[in-house]
Amino acid sequence: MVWQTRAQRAAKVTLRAAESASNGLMRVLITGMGGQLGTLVARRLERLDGVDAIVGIDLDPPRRRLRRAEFHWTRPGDSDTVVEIVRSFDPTVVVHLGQFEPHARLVPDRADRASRHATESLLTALAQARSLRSIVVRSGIEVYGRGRGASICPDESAPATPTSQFGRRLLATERAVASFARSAGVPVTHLRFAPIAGFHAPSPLARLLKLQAVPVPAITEPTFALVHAGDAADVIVAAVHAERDEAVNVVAPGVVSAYQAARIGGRVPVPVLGPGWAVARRIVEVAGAPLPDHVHELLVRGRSADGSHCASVLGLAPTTSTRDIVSEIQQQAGVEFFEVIDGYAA
Amino acid sequence: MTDAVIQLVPDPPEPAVAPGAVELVRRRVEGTYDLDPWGLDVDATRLAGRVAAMRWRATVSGIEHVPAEGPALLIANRRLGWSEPAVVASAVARETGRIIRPVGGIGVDPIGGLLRRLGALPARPDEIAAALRAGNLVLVPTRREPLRHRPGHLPIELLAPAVAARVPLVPVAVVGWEPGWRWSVQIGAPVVAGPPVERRADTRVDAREVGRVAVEVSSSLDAMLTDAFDRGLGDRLLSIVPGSRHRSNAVSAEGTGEGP
Repeated sequence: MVWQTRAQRAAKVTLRAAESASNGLMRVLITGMGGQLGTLVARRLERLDGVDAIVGIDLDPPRRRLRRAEFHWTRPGDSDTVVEIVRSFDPTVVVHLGQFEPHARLVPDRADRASRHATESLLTALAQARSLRSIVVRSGIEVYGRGRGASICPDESAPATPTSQFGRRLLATERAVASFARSAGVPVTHLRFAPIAGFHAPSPLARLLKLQAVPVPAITEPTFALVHAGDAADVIVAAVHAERDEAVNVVAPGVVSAYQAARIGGRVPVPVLGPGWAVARRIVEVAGAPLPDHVHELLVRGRSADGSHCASVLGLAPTTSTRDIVSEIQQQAGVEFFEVIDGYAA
Repeated sequence: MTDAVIQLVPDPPEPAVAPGAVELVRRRVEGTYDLDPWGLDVDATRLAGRVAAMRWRATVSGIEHVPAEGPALLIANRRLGWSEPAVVASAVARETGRIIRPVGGIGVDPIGGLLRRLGALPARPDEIAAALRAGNLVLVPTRREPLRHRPGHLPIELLAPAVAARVPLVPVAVVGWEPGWRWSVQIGAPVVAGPPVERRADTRVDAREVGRVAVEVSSSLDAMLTDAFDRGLGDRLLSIVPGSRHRSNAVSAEGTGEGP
């Protein structure tokens, strides 16, 4: 990586923007490029001929090597830097993935603040984007909530009444971006993902399911759906091309219950009832898998959604089933200790 | 025809696929049994179906009207008890192997959870719409009707998702006595609102169309029940319930402004 001054960086990006404007190609800005999902999206966009330039921002660097995409490290809320990047890059499409799931990469309060600041700084900066054509926002089916009377399998027309901190943050982001998009006259696609999991995707649910003993509801058996990080990235790329102005649920086929998720990997399900969950949450936190409220809600009330709309509007839908995703999570190798011989690992 | 009707208790055929007890326990232990978003437990439902077949033994006619695959909304008459949805579910499962998703029941756990495990759906249009999109056979009972020869009012709001999605609405006339074990299930020709469509954007609900379809379904139910009692089927099944002559008032223009 070559360190550049702010002026050099701006000049380079502006030159790239001018070139792609002349040939009508896409310039994609990705917020949250440092996360697993952002990196996967960037790698997929790099392979497309119709994408001329990709610029990403995040508080962590990308998790894999990117060939064409350009990454800029920014702190959440660093509006000046984001404004400068957006003004010089002049994106045609913005993929807003800067939404931090509690206890995935950050603790809940920091995740909430970082998500809010990322959205605010992005929208402030987008006022400078002259060529903006569409926005794609990462949201989640947590926006539907699981309160009493809530739909068990909501479609996109169901009222959004989130009942968790993460759900409320995602809904606030949706509304803020939608408000901006209306004023700017550009379409915005809200991709409401089921909990994203996969081999490398940091997820509090995945950490919980990797424990040797997993707390599960004692009486009921609510079900939940997941979506694989790779499938999620494919759907985002499709949404970049589709430029739809609506919300779309993105859900893997099939559901599992907490009991099934534990047993698929040979874990021991521990039935928990009522107040016992407070104790269980403390124990799993000590064991290295803190349980944020949206994951607790998923375990005890279930979380699924009707994802049939996705294929019809975006032309593709997730293919990896929820059961296969759980298997993949469970089969992740733990720490393997090598025998040391003469100072080297055998 | 009378002979066919008199044979009220045929020997039920063996279930097409009946996993053994060991297989069921293995799936339970390994967590590989099938669930759906509403909590349907396929193994538990098949098991309950076998128990239901011992409790209720029903003759079925018109089974060819139930689609072999894909979604459909079945509308069955209901009296004051709880048997009708279970009778229809067990009879259709026995004949076609398909699992019926009855709408309604108690929504509070643990009983609600148990019913959902056996296939029950919440009585909400959005849940019915989602279940139909997932290709389910959904059973909507009419409102409770104490008179045996009347189908009862149709819950129009629960029919609307099927009309919007253009899936077949299949009337089902159920005749029997709550404590009894002999029942008759007659399945009528399906009513379809229009050609099937895939895209949700094209599935707007037309209130007039819903009303028209509801009247048609109710008329079909009324005719089937009338026919059953005219043939004396009801008197044989409902041996201690006093009979009465039929009068059609199934859908009294609930939300439609029209009578049947």
